[in-house]
Amino acid sequence: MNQPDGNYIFILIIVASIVLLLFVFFIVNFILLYQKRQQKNFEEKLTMQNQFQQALLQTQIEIQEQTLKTISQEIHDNIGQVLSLAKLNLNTLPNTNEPKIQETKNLVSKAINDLRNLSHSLHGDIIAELGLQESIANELKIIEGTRAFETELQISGTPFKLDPQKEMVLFRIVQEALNNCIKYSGTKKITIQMQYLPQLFILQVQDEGKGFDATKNIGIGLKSMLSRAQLIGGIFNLQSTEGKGTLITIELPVNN
Amino acid sequence: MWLLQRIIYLILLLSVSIYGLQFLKKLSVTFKYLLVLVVATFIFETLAVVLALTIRNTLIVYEVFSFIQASLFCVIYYNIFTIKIYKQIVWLLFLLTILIFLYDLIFLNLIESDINIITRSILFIALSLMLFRNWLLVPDKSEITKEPAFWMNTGVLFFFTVNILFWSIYSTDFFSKFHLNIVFRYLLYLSNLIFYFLIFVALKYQVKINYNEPT
Repeated sequence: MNQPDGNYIFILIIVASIVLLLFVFFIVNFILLYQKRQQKNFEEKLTMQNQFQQALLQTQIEIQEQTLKTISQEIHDNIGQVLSLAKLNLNTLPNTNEPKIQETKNLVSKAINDLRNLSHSLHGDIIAELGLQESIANELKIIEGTRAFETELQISGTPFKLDPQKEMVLFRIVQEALNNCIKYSGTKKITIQMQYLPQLFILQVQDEGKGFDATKNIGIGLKSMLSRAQLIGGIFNLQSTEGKGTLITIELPVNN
Repeated sequence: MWLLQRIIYLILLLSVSIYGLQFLKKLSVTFKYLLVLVVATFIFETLAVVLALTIRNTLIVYEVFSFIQASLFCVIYYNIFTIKIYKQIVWLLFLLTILIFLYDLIFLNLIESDINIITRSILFIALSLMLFRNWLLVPDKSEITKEPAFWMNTGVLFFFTVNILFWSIYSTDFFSKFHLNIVFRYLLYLSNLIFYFLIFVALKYQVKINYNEPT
């Protein structure tokens, strides 16, 4: 092999190495770019999935609210009216002071009252009108009225009004939590705490009942509370231990 | 030396073919086509060695093989592409392959084989780059380096890029002036071995993916 051939082989090896390096660079670059796109795609899919779930939940809540509103109106306009008429009829009876008639009148009055309370707690517009604090207080008053429970509402900080839709969702969560306390906890005491902090609103529902293993027993009610809290941008937290009661906390960031 | 190189090359092709045939049921349709391509390469390369040693003319063997190779690659890429327009482009390229083949058959002694190889290499590089683009536009959930098609495509891009470089320089006076022919041919031979090794990696990943699935 002569000198020029040797030089050209050397050049050839360098060129081949450059081509190989360029190829490796292309492949590595492609893998990195692909991973980046993959991550972006995954995030986009996740966002779309979340948005879809939020929209679905929103629709479910709207339908539920509409149904509750209709039921509330039906109770108020039909059953309430019928009971009021029955009470009027009782008043027109000749011997209204008879103990049986008096007792019946009292029972009908109680039924009218209970139905009015029920109608109010179901009707979204009335809850919005009363505000969250008042609505929760009413709910606790109804529970206390059964004489089976002792309730307490603790408020700290300077109360402020939240967005009406958020208040409605929070109220429904409280209703669900109270329902669970009554049905499953076996407690006598229910405490609700509302903390108004400068940039955070904290709502806690606590009972001193039998509790449960929160890592295993997650029912539809709890899932619904979690979804509702997420829908309004809140953080839902459940603490429960067997024999030590249950504490539900919702933390909601507040925009000034 | 030439015969030893050919034998090593044929052993590699035979090994990849046996491996693929052994796990035939675990291969997807696309990779069955790829296996057909490897087996066809082995048969045609063996035939080429025999013809080179006897009549010293392998032109017709490579002519037919290049058409089969291009057709099979078109089918493989058609199956892998997920973007509709890319699938349509494959059809057009396939049509182009048929035209080149017919042209070659009619003017077999008129057309220079290096131009033919360069044209085909451009076709495969285009398909390979289109697949990389397809993956970037529609990324999958799985890790790309564990995708069998990724290794096949990398092999195609590598081998045909080397091919294009080799045959482009081969057409110049460079070779006639210096005795570099053997070095270039050696590099091309190495790239060919790397290509079929990457095909083997692709088949291995394909078998691994479908290993737990019922056949």
